[in-house]
Amino acid sequence: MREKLEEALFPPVVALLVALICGDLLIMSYGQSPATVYRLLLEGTWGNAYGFGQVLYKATTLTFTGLAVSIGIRAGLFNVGAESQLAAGGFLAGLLGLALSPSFPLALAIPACILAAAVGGGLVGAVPGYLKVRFGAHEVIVTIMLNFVVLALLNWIVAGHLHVPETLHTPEIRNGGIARLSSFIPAFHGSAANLTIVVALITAGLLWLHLFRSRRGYELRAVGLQPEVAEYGGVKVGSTLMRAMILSGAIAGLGGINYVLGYKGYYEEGFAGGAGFLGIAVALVGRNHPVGVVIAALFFATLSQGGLAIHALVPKQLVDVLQGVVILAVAMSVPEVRSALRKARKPVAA
Amino acid sequence: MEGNGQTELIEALSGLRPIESGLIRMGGHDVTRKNVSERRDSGLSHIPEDRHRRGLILDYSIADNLVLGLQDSYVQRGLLDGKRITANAKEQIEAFDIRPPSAEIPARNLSGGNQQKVVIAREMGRPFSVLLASQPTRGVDVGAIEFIHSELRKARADGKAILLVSAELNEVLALSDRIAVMYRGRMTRVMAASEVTEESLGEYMMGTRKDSAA
Repeated sequence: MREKLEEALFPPVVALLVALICGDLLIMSYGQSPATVYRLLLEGTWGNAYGFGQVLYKATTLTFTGLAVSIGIRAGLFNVGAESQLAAGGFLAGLLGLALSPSFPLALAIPACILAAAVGGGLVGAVPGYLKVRFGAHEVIVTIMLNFVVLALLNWIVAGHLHVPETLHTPEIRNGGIARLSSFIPAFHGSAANLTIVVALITAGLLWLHLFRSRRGYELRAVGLQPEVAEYGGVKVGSTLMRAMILSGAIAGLGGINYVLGYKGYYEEGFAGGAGFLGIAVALVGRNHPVGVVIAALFFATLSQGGLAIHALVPKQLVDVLQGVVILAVAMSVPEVRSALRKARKPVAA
Repeated sequence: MEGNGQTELIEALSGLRPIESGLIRMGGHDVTRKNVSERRDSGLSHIPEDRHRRGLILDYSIADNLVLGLQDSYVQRGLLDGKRITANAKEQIEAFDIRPPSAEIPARNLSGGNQQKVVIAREMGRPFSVLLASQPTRGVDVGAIEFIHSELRKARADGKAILLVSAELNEVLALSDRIAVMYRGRMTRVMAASEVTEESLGEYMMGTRKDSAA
């Protein structure tokens, strides 16, 4: 158990150290003191309630997309489509929120809208799953292409039929809104953090149960590690992949409620804003473990919110560079990526 | 001699390869259209020829590998019953002398012989009626070979049907009641072990003698 933990923590910790060193050098190249900048970064994020609320908000979406990518990787699938699955989930949740009458009980409206988000993402995830199982189409290509298709389709629907004039968003939902944290803890006032974070944590918990304590999870991980052995063990590899892809899409889709139901109260073009892609980094740094993913999501959310705090001293793009360094360093050191690289190299050597 | 269709035969019998024609019956029941897990449920055990490619999830613990293929029967209230999985592992590790005797370590860290014992324990440490044993002693140490042979003999004495495929002629001669020779994808000869010598077997295997092909 301890060995496992050390093995799991090693790559992210090394990555963090490498990123820190790169960060120091960059900050000094702007003539600033690293200590001051890092202190500012922490003060602007974990140091005050508003900043912390923003971190929680951003981490919520990243938790969903990180979990989505990680369940894919556990099954041996690389889902690059979390971005459009997230958007589709938010769109469907928003659509249902618009359609439901305000007199409909909120206690039913919220679960219905959450379910709609999962369905939206799951539908987008089902396409690459089906194409992979039926025709052997590689999910990376399909999910990348589908990002363009789905986002364009949603933009067309919103811009052509649903938007409020002069804006890129739909009218405000009439039902299914999720309460902000500030309505329970006034200190969070003004921050976007909302109760979706509870949904995110429950999802992480359920995913852990599914992956490590259920028969389907046992089979899913087996397919991801050694599909031929799984087949020998009576696992239906095709339907397992299909299920994993739908589940991955559905979890990414759930992320959409954070913005649509919890923050703005409407669907807006481009609200995903790269959170789907950043989910890949979150999954890698979090070592595809639900607990790791939650921590990694907090980390990336801190960096992204912290960029705003240090803007006075160094360009906020500095944190983007740091993010990149972390991703690269982790990617170089995690076994999954190394084995993928080895596989990719093989045909040349043969 | 390998490469004459033995692998394919085993895969077809175990359900890993679709069957083009013919019929497979186990204990009078037609299992031709049954999949891998249905055949396993009706009493078929299978020691695959390549434990790394087919037999073990190398990153799974010994305990988890010992329930591979039987995972359905370890479900309790929707989740896998970890206690029963561990109990099963303890039992099998002791019965089959798997070393080191720890349920939690990944199969990857075991020696070849002990990895094979995990496979044998899983396939033979449960009720079964038919066993497909493909290269059951490949790449294992002498001690493990003897252990595996005695397990196979015990199963035979218990009245189990065993289809042994082996590249080791000695193994085939020592363990079999009847010996079939496959040549270019066909079973060219089935004979009682008592009427076989190493030389005649060799000739059938090379395809130089093919009188009265079965």
